[in-house]
Amino acid sequence: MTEAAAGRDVMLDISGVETFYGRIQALRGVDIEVCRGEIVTLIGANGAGKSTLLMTVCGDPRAAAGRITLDGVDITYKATFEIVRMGLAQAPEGRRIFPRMTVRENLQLGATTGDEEYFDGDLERVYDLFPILRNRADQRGGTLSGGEQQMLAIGRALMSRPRLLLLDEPSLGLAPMIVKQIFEVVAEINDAGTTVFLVEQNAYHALRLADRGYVMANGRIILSGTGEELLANAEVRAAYLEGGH
Amino acid sequence: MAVNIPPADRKGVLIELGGTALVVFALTVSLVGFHIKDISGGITLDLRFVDVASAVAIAIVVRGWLILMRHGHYRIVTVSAAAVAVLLIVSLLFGGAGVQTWLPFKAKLLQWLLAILSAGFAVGSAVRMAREGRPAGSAQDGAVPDEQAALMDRVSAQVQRNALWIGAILFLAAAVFPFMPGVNLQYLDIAVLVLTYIMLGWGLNIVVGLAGLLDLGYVAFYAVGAYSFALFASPDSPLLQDLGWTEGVSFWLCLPFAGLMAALAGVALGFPVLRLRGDYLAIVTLGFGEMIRVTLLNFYSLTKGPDGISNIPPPSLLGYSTQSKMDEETLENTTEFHTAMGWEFDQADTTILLYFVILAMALATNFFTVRVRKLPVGRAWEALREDEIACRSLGINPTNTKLTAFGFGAMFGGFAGSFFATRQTFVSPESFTFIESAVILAIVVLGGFGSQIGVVVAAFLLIGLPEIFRELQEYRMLFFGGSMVLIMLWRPAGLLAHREPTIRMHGRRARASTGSGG
Repeated sequence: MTEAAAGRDVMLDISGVETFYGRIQALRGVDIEVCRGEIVTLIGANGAGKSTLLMTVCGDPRAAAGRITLDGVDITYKATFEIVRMGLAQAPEGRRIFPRMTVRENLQLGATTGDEEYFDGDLERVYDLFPILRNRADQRGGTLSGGEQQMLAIGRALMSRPRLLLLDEPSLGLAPMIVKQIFEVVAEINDAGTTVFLVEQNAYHALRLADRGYVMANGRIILSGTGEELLANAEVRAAYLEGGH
Repeated sequence: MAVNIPPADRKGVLIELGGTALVVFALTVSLVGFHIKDISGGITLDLRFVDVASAVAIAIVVRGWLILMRHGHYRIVTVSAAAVAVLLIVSLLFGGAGVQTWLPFKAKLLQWLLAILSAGFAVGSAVRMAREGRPAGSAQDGAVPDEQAALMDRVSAQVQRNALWIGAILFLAAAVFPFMPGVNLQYLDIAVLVLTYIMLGWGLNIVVGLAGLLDLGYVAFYAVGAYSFALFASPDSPLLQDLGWTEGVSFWLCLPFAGLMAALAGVALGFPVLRLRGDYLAIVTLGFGEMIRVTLLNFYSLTKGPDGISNIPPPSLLGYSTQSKMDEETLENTTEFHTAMGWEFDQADTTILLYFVILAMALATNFFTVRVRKLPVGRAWEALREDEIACRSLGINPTNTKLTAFGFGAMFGGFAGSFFATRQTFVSPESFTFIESAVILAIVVLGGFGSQIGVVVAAFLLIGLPEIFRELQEYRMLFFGGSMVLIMLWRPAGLLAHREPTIRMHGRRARASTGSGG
């Protein structure tokens, strides 16, 4: 592969992806690379197409054009559950935990694709990352607070031992304290070897955490660079950092 | 003592009483007021305005009691309700010709219900009076309905949590039931019927309660099972005659075959409806149920259409036939179980056998559901009910998950259908109309989606009670409808709606919850 030849180990390669909702074009030729071991973030305003991109990676909706590969395997036309079984996990937008099932059952469902022998160890690992979930193990998902639900969504995604973790707006609607805590855990997850692709509106936190970042507007990538570069970029500061915070 | 209602409320009270009277009048005038009677040479209308007036008067009195209780006039309610209750009970117990005039209705059960209702009011308001420590006042009881709902929530949580014990007690009761003194053939028949519906309810619960796929055509699988069974079990079936077989296949061989056929039908239905959800799914399943029935009706060469397939033998026992030789010429060279045991043939024994067969089949359905919830496939069903998109993002294949739910649900429907065929000894398409699907679904909904014991309670309420009170004729359907409305008002999620986790981490209940769901 050319990327490998260039000394970069590209894990998720999104190239020229276009996605439509009916006749409305949401993505207009998006190119993003996520390399092994990185935290890459995608920031942008509401409606820029960030969540659409994550969902397109998962195969729903399907890309109308372009190519998405995971570790060199084309996943553009694979079914969502097949993509997930290849070692990609997602904490979807709006958390989407199972409200009537307990925390532990939610985590069990996260391990659907996993090997049973790792289950107990993985469960302990999630409880260590989010100690509050251990205390809430028998509580129904729907009775958790927003922050706890987000932790559960991330923990559930981790239960499949993903190589690549997709996070869709984990800070949405959460108190600053909780956001800080969640971002710390994301860094911890990344240190343990999981590659993270993070979609965020909270540009400041996301860019500080990320190795590299992309900025999206109107379905296109308009800027990219390392986290520090983007944090220092005048355009980014004007559009996403000042005023909004 | 004076009835003290604030002047501002008086108009409201009048409207409430008037409205109640109007509603009851409107409901009863056509249903009860006109009675069509058969006389020689035609029919005639029998006007029963006294009954209508009684119903309206009772409604006004009961509503009046409610209003008085709301305003804290417990003493009046206690005294008057107790008086009415005593009057009714005395009339009922010692009623001669003279006292009988106190009774508003002709049906005894209605009188008893009225007496119990009055007694309930008397006791209820006496308790309330004692609790508040004052006979009159203007206390508002706005919190009471919430309290009651919370109580029922606790009850259902307790029931689910102690499902192992309740299940064991119910099982023991069911096991000794046929041998209890006073249990006659009629009660046994009702018990067999109730158990059939419990099994159907449990089977449908897999599809509707666990996987959350609203299925209005469950009777289709019941029919497929019944016909698959009948076609091989009955010596009269066109299929066996075409094959040149003179004897039907044994119950125990036909049963798994019928389950398999129904499961295939379930998967066949599953494929086209994979993408549908909610109302749309319900409509397609409804259509599927009708398709099966119409096919059975018109595929004359295979199913004999409206004539149906008769002569289906009862289950054999240890290889012996359990039929009476008298009505079965083709069985001349077989040995019957009762002959082998040296017993006299008795219809009750056959019914007891049927009873235990359906009991075992229903328990197997329940056992399957309880166990499967702890397996990945069962967990996936429940997750699918909660959130399909989340399921896919966790690597669950929604196609397979839905198809297995349809398949397993249909399989148990097919088993129940086989039992139906062998019990009735006759199947015809008219047994598999939409109303059957509706009743089975009503059992699941009233019991509480996904609740195993709820299905038992609801099957007893919906199937058992109407059968037991058959002598009440059309009144029982009035009760049936009324109680369904009441349950849905009071417990919109079902009587025992409470989902018990499949596993608990903390506390001693971890072991109890791995047992039977009853």
